[in-house]
Amino acid sequence: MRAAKIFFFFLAALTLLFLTGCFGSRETDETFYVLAMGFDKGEKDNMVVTVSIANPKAIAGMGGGGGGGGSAKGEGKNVVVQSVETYGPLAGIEQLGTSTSRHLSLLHTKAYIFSEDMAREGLGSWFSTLSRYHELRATSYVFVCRGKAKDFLEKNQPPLELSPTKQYELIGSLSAAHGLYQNSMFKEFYQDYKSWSIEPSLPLAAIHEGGLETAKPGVVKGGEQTLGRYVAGEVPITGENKAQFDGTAVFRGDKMVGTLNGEETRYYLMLRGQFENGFLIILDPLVAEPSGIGLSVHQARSPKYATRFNEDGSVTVDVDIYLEADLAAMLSGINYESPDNKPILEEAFSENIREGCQKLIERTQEEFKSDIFGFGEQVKGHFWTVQSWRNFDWLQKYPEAQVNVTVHTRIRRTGLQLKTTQVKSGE
Amino acid sequence: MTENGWCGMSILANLLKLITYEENPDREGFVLKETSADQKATGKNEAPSIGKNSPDEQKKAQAGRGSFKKPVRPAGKVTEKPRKIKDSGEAGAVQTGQTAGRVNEKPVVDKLSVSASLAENRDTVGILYGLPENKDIIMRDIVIGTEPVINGFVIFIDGLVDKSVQDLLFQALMLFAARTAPPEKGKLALFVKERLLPGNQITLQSRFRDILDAVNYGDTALFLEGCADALLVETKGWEHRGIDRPTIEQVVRGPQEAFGETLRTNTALIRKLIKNENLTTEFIKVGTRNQVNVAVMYLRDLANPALVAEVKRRIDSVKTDLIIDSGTLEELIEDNPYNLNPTVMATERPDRVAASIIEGRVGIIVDGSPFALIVPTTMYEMLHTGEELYTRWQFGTFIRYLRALAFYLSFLLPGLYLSVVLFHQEMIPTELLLAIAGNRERVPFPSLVEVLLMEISFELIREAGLRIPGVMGTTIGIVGALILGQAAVQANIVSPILVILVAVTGLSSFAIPYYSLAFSLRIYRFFYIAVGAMLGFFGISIGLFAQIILTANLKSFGVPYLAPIGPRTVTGADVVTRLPVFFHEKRPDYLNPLEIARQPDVSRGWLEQKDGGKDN
Repeated sequence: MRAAKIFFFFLAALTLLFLTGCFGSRETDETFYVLAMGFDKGEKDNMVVTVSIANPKAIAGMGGGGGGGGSAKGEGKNVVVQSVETYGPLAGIEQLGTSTSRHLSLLHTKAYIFSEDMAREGLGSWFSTLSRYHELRATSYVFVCRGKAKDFLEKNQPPLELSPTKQYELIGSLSAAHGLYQNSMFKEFYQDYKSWSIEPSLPLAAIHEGGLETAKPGVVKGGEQTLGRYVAGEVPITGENKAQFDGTAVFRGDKMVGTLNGEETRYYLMLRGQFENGFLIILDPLVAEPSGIGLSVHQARSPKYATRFNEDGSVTVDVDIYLEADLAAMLSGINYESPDNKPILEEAFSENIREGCQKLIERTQEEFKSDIFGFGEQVKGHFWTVQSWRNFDWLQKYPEAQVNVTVHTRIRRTGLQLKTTQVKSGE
Repeated sequence: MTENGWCGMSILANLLKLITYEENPDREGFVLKETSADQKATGKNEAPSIGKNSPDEQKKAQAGRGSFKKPVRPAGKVTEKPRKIKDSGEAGAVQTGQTAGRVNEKPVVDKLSVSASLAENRDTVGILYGLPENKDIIMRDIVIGTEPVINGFVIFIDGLVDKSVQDLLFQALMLFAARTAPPEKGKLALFVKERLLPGNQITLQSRFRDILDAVNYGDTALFLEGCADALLVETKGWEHRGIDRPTIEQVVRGPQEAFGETLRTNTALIRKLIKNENLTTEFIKVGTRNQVNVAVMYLRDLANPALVAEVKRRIDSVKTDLIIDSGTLEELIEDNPYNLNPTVMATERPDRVAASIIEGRVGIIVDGSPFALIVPTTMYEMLHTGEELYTRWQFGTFIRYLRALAFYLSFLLPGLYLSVVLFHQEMIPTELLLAIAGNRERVPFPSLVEVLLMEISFELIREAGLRIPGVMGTTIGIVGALILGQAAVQANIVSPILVILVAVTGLSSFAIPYYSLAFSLRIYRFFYIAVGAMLGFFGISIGLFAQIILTANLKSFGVPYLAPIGPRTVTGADVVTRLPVFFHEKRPDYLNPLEIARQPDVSRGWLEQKDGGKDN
C-alpha cells in the first residue's frame, strides 16, 4: 500500500516534469549563433538584413579532438555572412532560416550595425522590435556604419581574431584607452531615445579600403594639431584590418543628424565624464613655430555640473572638467618638468580643451540641436514633478541654453624622465 | 472435431512441456528444500507432509512474513546452538536424562547453571558446544597439583586464546600448585582464583550463559570437581591486524594511526588520547547470533545524560542476528534511514573520535569494525577532517572553503552544464559556447546522453578500480580515466570539454572527506542531471529547494542535521571558517553538553594584554 502510494507520487512527479520540461531546450548542434547583425535600406522592401553566423567547427579548431574524422577538417571561414531583403529584423531571421539548416539564435549577437541611411531615417521602430524579442542581448554593442552594413559585415574579417564577437567586445573596452569613439550598448541607446533629458549617440564604424591617401595635413603642414580629426572610414591605415571605429553619430530622437570626429568625441566623453584615457597633442605654448606636445590625459574625477535658471527663463549650465595629464612627448626640448614651466603648460592645455568643448557644444546647439551630453539630467533637478519637467521640454530649449566650460588640469607625472635638456651639438 | 481438439490439446501440452522448467532429479543429487516455515509463509498448504517435523519447527513457522529463510537441517546433525530444553529450573541441577540423550534434547542455555559434578558439567558443555564434532572447541582435562589433587577441565576455543598466557596458567595449576587444598569444596574456586591462578582477569561464574559468552570471546573456563562455579580466565589473544595508517581518511598533519578490528585495542586508542577517569566505556551486546560487543564511549561529566541514554536505548533495542560492521548498526540506529544523507558519522581515526567525545558527543565502536561511529553529528562536521585544527587556522579555513566549493560542484556541475548548454546558452562567454558547440558538432548524441555516458563510465571506473584484484593493481585508474576518455573523444562519442567536466566532478566528490556523504552526493548528481536536462536552472532550483527541505528536516540523535545554520543557533568558531584556536571558547551549542565552556576567554596565558590579544 505504502509502496504503491510512493510509486504513484513518483509517477505523478515524473509526469509533471515530462509534461512541462524539455521543450525550451535547444542543443548547440541545432543552433546557429548570429554574432553580428547588419541593417541596410532595402531597394524593394524595408531593409536588407545581414547576419554574420559563427562557424563553431572552425572556431573550436577541431584539430585536437576530432582527429578521427579526418575528411572534412572543419577549417574554413570563422563566420558565414548572409543577407536577405525583408520587412523587418525578425522577419529577416525567419526568412534566412529558409536557407540555413538550423535555428538562428540572437543569444550571442554582440553587435547590431545600422547603415547611416537607415539611421538618418530613424531607428526607433526597429529598436523596439528587437528589444521585445526574448533572445536579444541588451548589452550588445550598436554601431552606425558609414556605407553599407552588408559590406561592413562581409569585409570585416579581422585576421588576428578567432571569433568576430571578440572584436566587438574588445572594441567596446578599447574606447577607454583612447576615447576616439564611445562605448554604447543597445539598452543605453534604447533608453536615451526615449528620454526627455538626453539625446542618443552611437559610435561610428566603417570599412576603409583605401590606403594612406585620405590623410589630412598635420600641424607642421598647416593643419590641425589633433589625432582625432578623422571619422571612421577615413583614417589613413593600410593593412588587413579593414574595419575602422572612430567618431560618433549624433541623434535627435531616433534619427541621426550628424557626425562627430574622433577629437570631438573625446570632448564629448569629457563633458559626460566618460573619458578614461587618451593621448592628446597641443601646440607648444612657449615656441613660436608650431610644435606639438603630447600628453597622456585621463579624467581625474567626474565633472561638476551647476545649473541655474536666469531671470529671462533661459538656463545656464556650468561644467567643471578635471583632467590629469602626464607628459608623453615633447618635441621642442623645453623643460616643462620644472615647477616654473609646468603651470604654463597646464594653462595652455586647459584653454585648448575648453575651446574644443565650447566649439562642440556650439555645434550641438546650432547644427544638431541635440543635447547628447545629458545636461538635461542636471537641469531636471530643478523640477518637482515629472509632469512639469516634461512640460518644460528641455530638448527644445537646449539650443538656447548657456553652457560654460571650465577645465582644470594638473600635470602629475613626467614619464620616466625628470628633466628635459636641449640637444647638445658640437657646433 | 473432438479428435482434432484432443490432438490440438496434446500438441499444446507438449509445447508447454517443452518450454516449462522441470527439475532433472538424475543430475541433481542434493536439493535445498524449503523449510516448513517458508512454506507457511508463501501460503503453500502442505501441512500433512510436515506433520512429522519437530514441534520446535512448527513454532518457528508462526513467524510468518519477515522471518529469515533457512535451509533444512540435515537430520541427526547437532546444532551448535541449543534452543530448547525441558525446563529443569533450579540452579545446579541438570537432569541426567538430558545428558544421556544429548542429541535430541536441546537445553535452554540461559537457564542452565554449573553443577557441582564435574562429569555433569562436562556433559553439559559437550551438548552446548556440540562436541566432539565441533573441532576448534578444546576441552582438556587437568589435575591440579594440590594436596590432595583436584580434578578439573578447561574449555577454550583454539585460535581465540593466547597460547603463551595459557601455558603460564597450566604451569601454575599443574606444576607449581603444591599447596594444601582447602577442606570445603564450595570455596575451591575462590581458593584457586586467589592463590593459584596468575591470570590478570579472573571471574567466578555459575551461569552457563555467561560462561559460554566468555569462552566464545576468547576466555578460558576452568571447571573444578565439586565446585558449582566456573573460573573464567582472560586469555584473549587471537590473530589480528596491527594498528595501521588510516587508508580512507588520510591527513598530512596529525596522528597517523587508525582503528583496527579489535574492540579493546580501539577503545584503548581512544583512551590513550583522553586520559581522563570520566571517560566511560559501556558494553552492549548486539546480534542474537554473533553476539557482538558494542562499546559506547562518552565523558561522564560532559556528555548530556539524555543523549547517552538515548544512544544506549537505541543500541539495546536492536534485535537482529548479525552485526559485523558498524555500518549495519548505523543503519539500525540512525534517525532517517530513508534519506540519502548519512546522519551518523563514521571514522577510522581515533583522534576524531576523541575530539568528538571531548565536545560532548558519544562514540560507538563495534567489535570487529575499524570504523567508529560518532553521534550526534551535523552535515558541517561531515565536511571536516580534523586536520584543519592541526594545521594553522588560515590553511584550515582555506581548505574548508575549497571543500565547500567541491561540495557544490560534486553534485551540481553536470546538471548545470546541461542546463547551460540546453537552456541558457546566453549565460556563458561566446567563445566558450562556440568551443562547446564546435566540439559537439561531431558527437552524434544529445548532450544528456553524452553526459550520462560519461558519468556512468566514470562510476564504472570507480567501482572497478575498487573491486579489481590487488595483483592487477592501480592500473585501472589510469587505464580507465585517461585512455577511455581520450579514446571516447577521438571516436567522437563525447566532447573533450565534457571529459574535463566529469573529471572535475569526480575530483570534487573525492575532495569530500566523508565517504558516505560523498556517495550520497554521487547519487544526487543524477537527479540534478535529470532536472537540469528537463527544466534547466528552473529545474535545478526546484531540485535544490526540495533537497534543502529534505535535508533540513533531518535529525541526528535529536540534533538538527544542518545545525548550527539550519536552525540558526550559536555558530561557534569552527563551522566553515576555522577561527584561531584561542577563539574556540565554547563547545557546539546544539550538543547541550553539561559544560559549555571549553577554555577561558584568555587561553594564551603568556600574553600581557587583558583581552588575550584578540583585538589585534
